[in-house]
Amino acid sequence: MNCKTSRNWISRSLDAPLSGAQRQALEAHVATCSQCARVWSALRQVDQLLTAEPMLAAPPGFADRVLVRLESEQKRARPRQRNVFMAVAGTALLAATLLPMLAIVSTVTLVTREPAVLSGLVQAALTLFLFAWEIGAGLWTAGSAAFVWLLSQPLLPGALLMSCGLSLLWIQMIRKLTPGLQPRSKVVSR
Amino acid sequence: MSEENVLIKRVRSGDTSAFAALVETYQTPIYNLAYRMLGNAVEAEDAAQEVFLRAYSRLSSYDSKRPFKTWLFSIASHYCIDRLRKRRLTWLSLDEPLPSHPALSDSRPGPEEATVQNEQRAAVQQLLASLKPKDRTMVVLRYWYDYSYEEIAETTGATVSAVKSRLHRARLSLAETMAKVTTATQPAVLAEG
Repeated sequence: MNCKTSRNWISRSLDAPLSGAQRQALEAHVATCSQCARVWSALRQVDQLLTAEPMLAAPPGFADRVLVRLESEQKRARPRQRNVFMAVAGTALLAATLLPMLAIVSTVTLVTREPAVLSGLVQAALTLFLFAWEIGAGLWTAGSAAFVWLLSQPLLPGALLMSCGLSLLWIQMIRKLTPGLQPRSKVVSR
Repeated sequence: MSEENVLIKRVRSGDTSAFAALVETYQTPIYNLAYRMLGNAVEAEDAAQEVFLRAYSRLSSYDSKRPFKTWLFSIASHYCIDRLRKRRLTWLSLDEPLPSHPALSDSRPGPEEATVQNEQRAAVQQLLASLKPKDRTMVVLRYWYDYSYEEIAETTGATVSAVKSRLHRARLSLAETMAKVTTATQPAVLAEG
């Protein structure tokens, strides 16, 4: 018998008894192999240690705490259900308002088929687009100028970043120091 | 219909008192499983609570032809394995490390007030903590619940042959840890088999 088979049998012998012949072969091998003898002894020790260790009972009041936690999770889930209901109701209301509006728009489209009305609408859209374009261009010029100015004043953005960082640190510190602002633990304590 | 299935049916229809009865029945085996897997009482309590909450929310997917205990244990063992994996990934762990047990480490003296039972429990937990999460589940199911290879396979979702080889490997690893203590000077050869 080699050591691999021997160790397999040693391990299996902990779950089911070996046959007489297997047992004899294993004992013969172990008598001559000090390493397998050490494995057998250690495995038996482990087996005894684990077998002797009792089942740990749940702490008193465990079931009550599970129910409290279940209730609080259900309460938290309820607003979510209410939100879903509100969203569905809102969508229905919107649909109820939009449908008559669509009917009106569809009658208006008949009017827009007149060439004069159509060109007037196109003219209005074009003017609106040009107006938006001019505003965008103005904002871009102002933004670029501000950026160039900031680059010429490196201290200012640095100071701004530092004050933002300090503010964030301050908020974190306040959150840690104020018990009411700390995230609630999930465990229902004893 | 068994009494347990009646309770499950009542829970499905929203009866929380029936759920309380199920928790009462299984609280100790689930808590013990969580404790053996996670190694400390606070985490075990939290995990065991979470297992029951998950069971409650997933009860609609439970097939009453299967044993409820196996289904519940499956949730518990997978949850504990996930938790152990997440724990390893947590860069700033809030878990307190297990105290090193004198029988399994140096010749440091244990706390004077510790009872023999507590020392033994700590030794067991330290042995279990040396195993990979999946191997640990199999050892726990085998020793504390006397599960057969087939039952372990059903609970963990592994094949029977995988259970056999994992259990064998886990035992050798435990024996190696144990042997390191008793014969610290000899070379470790146990995991070769």
